[in-house]
Amino acid sequence: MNPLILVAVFIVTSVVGYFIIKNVPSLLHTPLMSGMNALSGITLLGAIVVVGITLFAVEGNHMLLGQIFGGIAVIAASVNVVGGFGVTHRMLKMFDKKKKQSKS
Amino acid sequence: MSETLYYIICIILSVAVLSGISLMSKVKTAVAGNLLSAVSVLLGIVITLLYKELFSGWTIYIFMLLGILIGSTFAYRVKMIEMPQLVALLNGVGGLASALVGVLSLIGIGVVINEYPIFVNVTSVLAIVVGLITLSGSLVAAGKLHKILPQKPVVWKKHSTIVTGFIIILISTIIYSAFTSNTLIVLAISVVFSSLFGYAFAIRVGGADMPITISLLNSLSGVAGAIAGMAVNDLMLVSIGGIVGASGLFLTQIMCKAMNRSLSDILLGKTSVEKKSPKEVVA
Repeated sequence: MNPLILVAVFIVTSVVGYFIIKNVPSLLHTPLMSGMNALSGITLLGAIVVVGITLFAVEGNHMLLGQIFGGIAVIAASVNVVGGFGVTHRMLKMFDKKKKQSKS
Repeated sequence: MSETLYYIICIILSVAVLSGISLMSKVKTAVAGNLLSAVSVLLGIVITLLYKELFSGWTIYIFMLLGILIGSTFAYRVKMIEMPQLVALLNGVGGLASALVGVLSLIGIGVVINEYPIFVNVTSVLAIVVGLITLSGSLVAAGKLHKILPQKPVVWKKHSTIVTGFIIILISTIIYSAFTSNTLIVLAISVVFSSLFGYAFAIRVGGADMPITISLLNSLSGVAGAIAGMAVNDLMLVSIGGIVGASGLFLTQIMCKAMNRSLSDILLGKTSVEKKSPKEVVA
């Protein structure tokens, strides 16, 4: 794909992303941050592509290097994604409980 | 899978992530937003495997399973009070992943060779730099919140000069990478100086202001992902990374406003709330 298209996509999504949230209640700052942190583990996509390509198309030392470093990248990114969404879910559930207690 | 279909799915998933983030910014819909984002990441993985025809790459599943096990253990075992440092740690790990993707594409392993080597070189180095700044900065942040490192802002003599020096070195390395084929030197310099920069940048921030720093680093790791996506030519990664990077930056500004602080003051270590413990500010 042409680099210019990629750069253009990056710019467009950045502009859109910048205006997507407006007023966030301060209660939600930490969960939102944590959720976005999980989303930033999306780099997992790049890591799995690297691991997959080295597994099929590369041989010898380079394949080993690709598997080791790419594998660490896949592990790291999936820790980020799974841990991030899990933590966010836990935080949000905690808010639910707090609200129910204060209402009752 | 045809290319057109892939592009359409990319757009749909980007919209899903956007709506996930916007749902997460309201109390009532926050849980749904989180689930929507998680599902779109999962779909993104499946679609990427299908589109790049890597569905039979068995090592991918082993590595992912390991990561899922470690990640879920962290997420469900950690005490509530230790959440902020866990988020910082997870964020750093994500930065590490982007940096590793950058390293591999810089030395030309696992990348489909394309006709724009300069673009690949520059974006790889950028991914390494931004990813490692995220990693070392987040580790410092997690250390400060966990009280391993001193809570007070550590300001060295001539701190600003040192930081500016690092920035100049890093920028010139990135420019140099466009003109050289000696990737190992570029790799070494970018690894060393971006780690040092992340450390120098985060050590100056006080413990109470750490949530804002983490939010900023979080935005950076989104950007790192997007740049790594440029290096390995992955459209979906570029678009979602861009969204996370920008909305993370905006969230940082919102948090600064809520705490009535300016971002530059925080980054320069001018703390006014150092007597509070970080937990009070986060909770």
